[in-house]
Amino acid sequence: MGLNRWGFLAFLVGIFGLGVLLIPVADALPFLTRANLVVFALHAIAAMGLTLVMGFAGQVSLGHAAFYGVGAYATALLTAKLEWHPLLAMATGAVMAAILAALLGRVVFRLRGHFLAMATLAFGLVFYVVMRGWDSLTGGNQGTGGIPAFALGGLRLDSDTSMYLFLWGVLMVGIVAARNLIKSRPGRALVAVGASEVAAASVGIDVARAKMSVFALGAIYASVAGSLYAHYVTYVSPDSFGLLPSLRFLVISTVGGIDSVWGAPLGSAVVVLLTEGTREVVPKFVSGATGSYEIVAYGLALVLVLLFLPRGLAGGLALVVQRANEWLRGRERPTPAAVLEEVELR
Amino acid sequence: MSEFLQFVASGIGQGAIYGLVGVGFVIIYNVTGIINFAQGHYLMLSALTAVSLREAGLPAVPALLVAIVAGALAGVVTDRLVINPARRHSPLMLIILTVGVAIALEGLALLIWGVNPRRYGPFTAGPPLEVAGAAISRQTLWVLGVTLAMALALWWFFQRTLVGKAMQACAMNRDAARLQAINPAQMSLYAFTMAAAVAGVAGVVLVPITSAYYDMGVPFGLKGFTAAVIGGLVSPFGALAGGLSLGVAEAVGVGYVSSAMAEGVAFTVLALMLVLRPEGLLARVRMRWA
Amino acid sequence: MSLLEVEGVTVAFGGLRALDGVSMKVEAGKVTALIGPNGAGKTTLLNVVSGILRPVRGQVRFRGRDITGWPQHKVASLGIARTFQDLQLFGNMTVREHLLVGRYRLTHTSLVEALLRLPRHFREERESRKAVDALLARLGLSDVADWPVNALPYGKQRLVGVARALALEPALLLLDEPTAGLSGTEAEEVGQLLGLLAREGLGVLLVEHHVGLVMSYCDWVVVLDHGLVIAQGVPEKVQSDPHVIEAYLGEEAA
Repeated sequence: MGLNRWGFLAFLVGIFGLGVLLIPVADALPFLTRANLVVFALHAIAAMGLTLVMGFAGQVSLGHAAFYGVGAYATALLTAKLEWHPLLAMATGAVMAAILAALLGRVVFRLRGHFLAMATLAFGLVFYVVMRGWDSLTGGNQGTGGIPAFALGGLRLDSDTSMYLFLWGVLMVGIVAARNLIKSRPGRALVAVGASEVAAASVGIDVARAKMSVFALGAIYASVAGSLYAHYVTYVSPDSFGLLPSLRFLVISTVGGIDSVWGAPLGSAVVVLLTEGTREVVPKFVSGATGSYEIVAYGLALVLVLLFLPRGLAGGLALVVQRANEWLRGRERPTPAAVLEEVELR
Repeated sequence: MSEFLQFVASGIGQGAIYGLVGVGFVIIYNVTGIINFAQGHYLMLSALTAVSLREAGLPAVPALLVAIVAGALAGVVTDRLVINPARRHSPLMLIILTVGVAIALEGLALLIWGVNPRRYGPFTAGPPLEVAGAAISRQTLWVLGVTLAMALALWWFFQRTLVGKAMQACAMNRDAARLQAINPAQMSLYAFTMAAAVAGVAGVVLVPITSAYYDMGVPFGLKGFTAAVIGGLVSPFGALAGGLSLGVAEAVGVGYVSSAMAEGVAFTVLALMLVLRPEGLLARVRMRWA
Repeated sequence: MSLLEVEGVTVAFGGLRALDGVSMKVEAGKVTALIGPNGAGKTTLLNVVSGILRPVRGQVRFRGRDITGWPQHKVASLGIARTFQDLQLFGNMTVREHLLVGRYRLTHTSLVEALLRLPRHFREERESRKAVDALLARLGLSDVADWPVNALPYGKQRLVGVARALALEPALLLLDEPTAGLSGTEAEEVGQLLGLLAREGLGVLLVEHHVGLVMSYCDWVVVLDHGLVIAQGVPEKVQSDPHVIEAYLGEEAA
């Protein structure tokens, strides 16, 4: 959206306030609970990282949940077993995720787009298999528990409300960081790489390195979210980081829109509502339904949004706002040609 | 040595299945340029449909045929409802779209069939046969026979029929094909239908070896893709060879190391292929259908 | 020592020799034109110099330094800028953003500095925006500075391509058909601009079809045909060279 700095900040504050207002009413609204608000914020933060990878580097990752898992397991093992400070554990996880992503990026970014999807898929599955198989470290299938609540100075996040408020703040920081990036030298370089690699290289941008760094940055978002997730649930097991979570992040990013910093939160909200909605509605029609059948809704949402709104909901909303604006101002949309004519006549 | 032969005997059945799924990847990739993420899900759909029809008391042959048609229909639906309307989208979007189709199919299967694995017995009952000191199950022979028949049918189709040749032309150069009045959209429909049908065949012959379950689409898809990549993604026969070698490698891995290794083998092979030889082991064979 | 020296460069695609032992020089402060019939290897030569293609034989030297086979981004960071025949602009980025990206090699703000908005980010942004504004004004692009490039008419888009290359503050500028698709006046303006830039010390190598432009604004002309240099010299001399006339007539006949 074409907001200037102050417009953007005002919008950000507004959205933040809206999120806070959701807390008292959440339990009364359909499909929504305070616990769901936490899930929504966690997924939005992690998916934001994927949005950067897809929107900037133009690459699809089907293994994003692995980085979420790196953060979660780092926090689980370091805070529960070694009693590290939560922040230190979180930072360690983020560094590990970034290194892992950079190494993976080095290998896979040489591949053509199609292969990359499959390579990241395989990477995600390998992570899942390893976490399940490495009993002595991760507790295998049973997982590992005893993770303390996140505490920082006098702040202790041991309720849904406090956790959500904190996450909501982290998400805003994540959005600001992403926007800072877009409006800066390295961010513009990434957008350039996404648009034309040969031209980006012609101004001195190291294309492979640029892609690797955005991949690492995306992994850091996921890892931080994973760490906070571990503190929230106090217990982690491999199933939270397998294929389904990776696909969920993909759905969140794409449905929300990969070229907007608002895409991930928007997509995450939709996915939470879809998940809860299906869980409530489906059993009424299919008796004895078990398993994660909300994926039907994920799949359909993905296909429908991409077919009808290729730029995602954020792109669609931006268009609506733009049209409404023009309509309110009651003048015709200036075509580029008309404006140029005006410019050249002057 | 006899131990190794035994691994081969137990691996080639699965391997042939991977190969058949891989053939679907090759056909769709060459005709449309898309890696179809839902490829393994067609196999799942046919396998589970076959189980249900058999359980409903339908005789074997019609049950299996209907199940294969169901798989093929899923391919038709993918092309007409999703791929064709999105023809102008970027490759990134097309990949994600096929992921969407795959997830939707998997969810649908979960709603219809639930989480429990299901299976039916081998096509022909009886003890395993002894071949050079290794026991080979009767169903494995069925799988190999069907795979051979499919290979011959594909060879005939691409070499001897007009449609097959048109699809090959599309594979070599889509724009040139258009100039020769070959309609790429139609070729895309044929490719998806055929790929799904081949995966469907693989699904119904597989069930007596491995149970069918709703989320088998991804592992079989990924292994089929690995098979196709080993073959360089250009040749159905390369994919079949790739599938057989992957199946045997898996059986050896399970036999000599542990059963948890089975998954690891395929992913390691895929990783090595993608890193070391993304052009496949049969790189010199370009656009070869036979 | 010349600014750019190309010596015995050979490039082969399969069995076909796109360039066959090409040697030439570009001097600082001079506009050098690369002309020749279609398929002569002109763009291929630019691609070799800018690091997109690696020659099978031969050497490319920039200020006496061997840069043969260097990756593209390293070549660019030395101050060798280029444009593309098919523009290769960055989709819906604005004109101003194109020029800011063009200053990539002149700035150093890292990812972390940008995310945390450390002082260097602000300092470099300020400097860059000032430099970009000046360049925009010089090229007459100020009025469309905040337009997404894909909304501009073709002539302006071409100019943005040149502007992006100039934003690198290069020592050597490689232009691939900068006047293709431009009107007569627009082409004339580009010619004048190049002359001006050369007088400031920039070395320019351009692939050009516009004969009038070559004759009036270029100091040196190199003629390629089938990957071979068939003539070079000052424009007037090359114009009357029988080999050159033959090469062009051959093309007309075919």
